[in-house]
Amino acid sequence: MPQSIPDRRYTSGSPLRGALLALLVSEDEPLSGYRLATLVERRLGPAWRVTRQSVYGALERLSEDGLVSVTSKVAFHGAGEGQRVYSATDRAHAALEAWMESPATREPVRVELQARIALSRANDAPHLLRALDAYERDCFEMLRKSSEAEVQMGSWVGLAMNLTRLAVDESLQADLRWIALARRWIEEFLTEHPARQQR
Amino acid sequence: MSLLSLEHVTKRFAEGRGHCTVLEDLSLQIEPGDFVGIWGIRRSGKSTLLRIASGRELPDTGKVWFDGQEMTGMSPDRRAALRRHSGVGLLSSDWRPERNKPAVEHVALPLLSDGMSLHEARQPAWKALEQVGAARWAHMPAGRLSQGERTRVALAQILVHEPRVLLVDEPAVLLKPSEGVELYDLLRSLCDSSGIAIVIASEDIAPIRKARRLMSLGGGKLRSTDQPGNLVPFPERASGRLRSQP
Repeated sequence: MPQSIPDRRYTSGSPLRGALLALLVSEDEPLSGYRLATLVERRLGPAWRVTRQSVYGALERLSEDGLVSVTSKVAFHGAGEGQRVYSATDRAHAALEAWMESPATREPVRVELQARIALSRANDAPHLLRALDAYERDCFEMLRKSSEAEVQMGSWVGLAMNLTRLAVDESLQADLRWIALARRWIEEFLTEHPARQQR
Repeated sequence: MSLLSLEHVTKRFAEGRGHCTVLEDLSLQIEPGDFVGIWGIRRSGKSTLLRIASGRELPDTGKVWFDGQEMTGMSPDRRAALRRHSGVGLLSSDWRPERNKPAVEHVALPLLSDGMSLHEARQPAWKALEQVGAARWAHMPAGRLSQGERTRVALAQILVHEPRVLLVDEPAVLLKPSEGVELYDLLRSLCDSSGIAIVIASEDIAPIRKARRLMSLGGGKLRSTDQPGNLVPFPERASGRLRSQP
């Protein structure tokens, strides 16, 4: 496929596929699945919760679509099966370009706790308050993890990683505010309607 | 025994015909070298908590201890003396310096009430300004300083008393993001290098992201995020039911 025609098929893929493709295009040498998982985890940050399994699954699909080629690296002393390594095919460049220029849309809100609250009854309130506590701890844990990586400004990669962290921070800030207000509203409701807890 | 300890503190304020409970049966222990971040939305009681912890305000019930002494049982003068001598410092964003007075005088003058001469007070004032990276503008009138520089002078004014606990109230409010990042790094390095215990209360997560202990304040209660809590016992069942819905 000519480089100038973006592979539109790719744009329906997941962000993880795009991220793996971007890493493979920017690296000169083939990379192992393990190395790719480590790099993608670092670049996307802990908020993505990338698993090794999802990385291998995405690489498999990229290979099926002809965007990634898989080869076996020769093992030491020619013994045993070599390590599988991945590299970008010629079509990968156009697919990556298509991903970068595809229109960004607002992701649907799918926090499970929000669904629980949407469908709850008044007597679920104590469970919901405990769930809010747990969700808050999860947010703080995410803040702690995203704070561990020190990123220096001055390079494009540094700027890109800082912007990724900023997106996580802003989202955590909004979630923490929502948790605090949800807790306050539920507690105020329970104070004003004490009988509703018993039903 | 902890360096600073709040025990079962409750604080209420009159609101309309009733009252509003800002802090309810709240306890908190601060150890030497601690670095604590307290997050909370506006009007969640963060400033009240810090003012009570610093001895500037008294709780309705409960006790506050500093270094084995009960602050809540002291006279206002003794509490003020405790703040001045290796005690508890409070940095607020509402510090308003005299516009024409140089930074170094803002830091030195509070020491005069301890019986020092202005000449004697200048040396520790310089040291405190150096500690916060503000020695460059020591002779500049405070009115010509940026908000970030003023905050550093305000910090030096507290550090000159060599506090063992530093309480910081909403450091992000008036600062530019870059000034904020520099201040949070400075606070962290002060904690690491001098062993001073630092407690930052903020509605913004940026100032507290490097804290070793994170807590949230809301509904009068302090929730520590490092304590495992009770998860709702049926998340899988609930999510399974939701997935099956149209």
